[in-house]
Amino acid sequence: MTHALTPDDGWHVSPQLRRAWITGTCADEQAWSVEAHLSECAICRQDVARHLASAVADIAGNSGPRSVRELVDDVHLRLVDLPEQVPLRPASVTRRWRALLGLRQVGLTWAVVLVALLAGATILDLLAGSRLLGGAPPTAASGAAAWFAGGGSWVAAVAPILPVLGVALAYGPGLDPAHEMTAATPVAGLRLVLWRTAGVLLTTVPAALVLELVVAANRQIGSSTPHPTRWLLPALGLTLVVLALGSRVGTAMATAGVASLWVLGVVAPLGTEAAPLLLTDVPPAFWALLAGGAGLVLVLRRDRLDALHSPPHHGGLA
Amino acid sequence: MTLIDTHAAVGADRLVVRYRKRTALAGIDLDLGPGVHGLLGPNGAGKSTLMRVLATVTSPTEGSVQVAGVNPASPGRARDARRRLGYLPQAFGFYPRFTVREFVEYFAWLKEVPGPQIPLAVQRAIDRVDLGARADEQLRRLSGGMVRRVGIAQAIVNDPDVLLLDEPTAGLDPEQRLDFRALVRELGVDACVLVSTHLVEDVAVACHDVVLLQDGRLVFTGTPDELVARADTDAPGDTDVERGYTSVLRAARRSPR
Repeated sequence: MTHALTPDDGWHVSPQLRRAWITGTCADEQAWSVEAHLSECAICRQDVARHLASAVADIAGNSGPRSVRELVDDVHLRLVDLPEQVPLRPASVTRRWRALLGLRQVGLTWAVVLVALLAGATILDLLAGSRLLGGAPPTAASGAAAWFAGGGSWVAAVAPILPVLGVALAYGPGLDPAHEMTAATPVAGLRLVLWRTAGVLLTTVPAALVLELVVAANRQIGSSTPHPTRWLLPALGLTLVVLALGSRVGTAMATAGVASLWVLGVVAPLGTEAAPLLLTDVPPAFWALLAGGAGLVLVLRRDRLDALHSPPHHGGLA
Repeated sequence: MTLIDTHAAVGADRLVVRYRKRTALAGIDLDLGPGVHGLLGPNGAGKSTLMRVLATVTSPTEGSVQVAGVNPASPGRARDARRRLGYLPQAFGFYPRFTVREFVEYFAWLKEVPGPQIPLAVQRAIDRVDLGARADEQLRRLSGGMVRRVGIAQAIVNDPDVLLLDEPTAGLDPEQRLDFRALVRELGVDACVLVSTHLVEDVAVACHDVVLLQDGRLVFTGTPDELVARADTDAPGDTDVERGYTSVLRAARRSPR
């Protein structure tokens, strides 16, 4: 019950007041009201305890005087000795994703986006596929320029960016009711678009895989099999790589780096005898592994994603 | 403490905003510190535009703004400013199927509140707007006034140094408006709170000072008492503050630009 946890006036100790109280720099009247409130409010007690710990870690460090550390540990233990009283649900990753993608909101729209992306990839594949792999593949001797001239698909060269553009449109000001508020948050911009793209692709790729398997199982002799995953997997892999790198060097830098490498991989062979390796010979397994690796990095670094470049005043006293 | 105080501020320097040919803000100079500041003006005066520029949603056409101690003109600085910012837009769009908690939690994440702190931050924000008992209900089941309070909760979930509330009292009943004034006064102790409203009385009661806009220009800044002192005896209005408000607007209309 909420009223058992907190006084019912809804007031809580503000971060600034908390800081002042912990460091003993607030006026006596303020200190009294903070203490009176703390005696009633489990949430603020936990809050103070958490910041006390980080404040002392800052001040004393690991080599701090033992007596101070012991004292603080003692106070800290007494303050946080309320394990079951605060039934706060942890922020779950699933809820975060669902919110990020607006899943609860746009169940139908979501299905439309998924189907549209799947259909788009399949159509692209059927249009270009015969030239890429199915029909008469350009020989190595004809060279990369000839490969493009001979119908090697330019669409393949821009395919990884297409889902990103689609997502940017779908979650734009016209369609996302909370866009105005979202635009004023630090995640807004490229990073938010990329996270949403990753989310969209993570659900589309398995659907595409199922589609491919079903078609392959039922296909008649002579007909071509669509491979939508061939278009979606590189997009997923590159998006996740940008996000993973971005957690280290910043999203703009990561995007520029990965985009440059991609362009280089597509354009560089133009002067040579070979067809662009990136667009022809890279097996889907490579992109899947790349996506998996980048995804693993993101999971391992999940705490840093939020904290990247955080100003010190989130962390406690500093 | 001084370090924190410099963050609890917004400013504008010869700020001009034009939408195609229409000039929404025609050269605003502003410097607001911690406290509750009321932003008044007739419809179309540029209140929401000023809010949107300070919220880093719109860019200045000319001039610059300072938000929480930084100029958000570059993406990196904008990110710093946005982390310390709370914003409730006038057109408050929301997701009806989200619960109160999910919605506030979503914005805590968007505002880069560190993961382990999110549950407490969300609970605190919901408690402060007095929605603790409805925390796990979907937004579509709440009244208009409650939805507004959810909007305020998402704005304060990151303990912002700068809080921008655009018409926050719209849809609140008189009792809720009293609660809201108390909350805003409390937030204004250590944050820079800018509240735009068309209710002159709200400003008189809840705000430390008043900023009055007309036709994209600043026509008055001062305390509510100073606004009252500007009242002409023959000015229309039911209260002293309203008479002060209409007097300043009439004087501004008469004076040449």
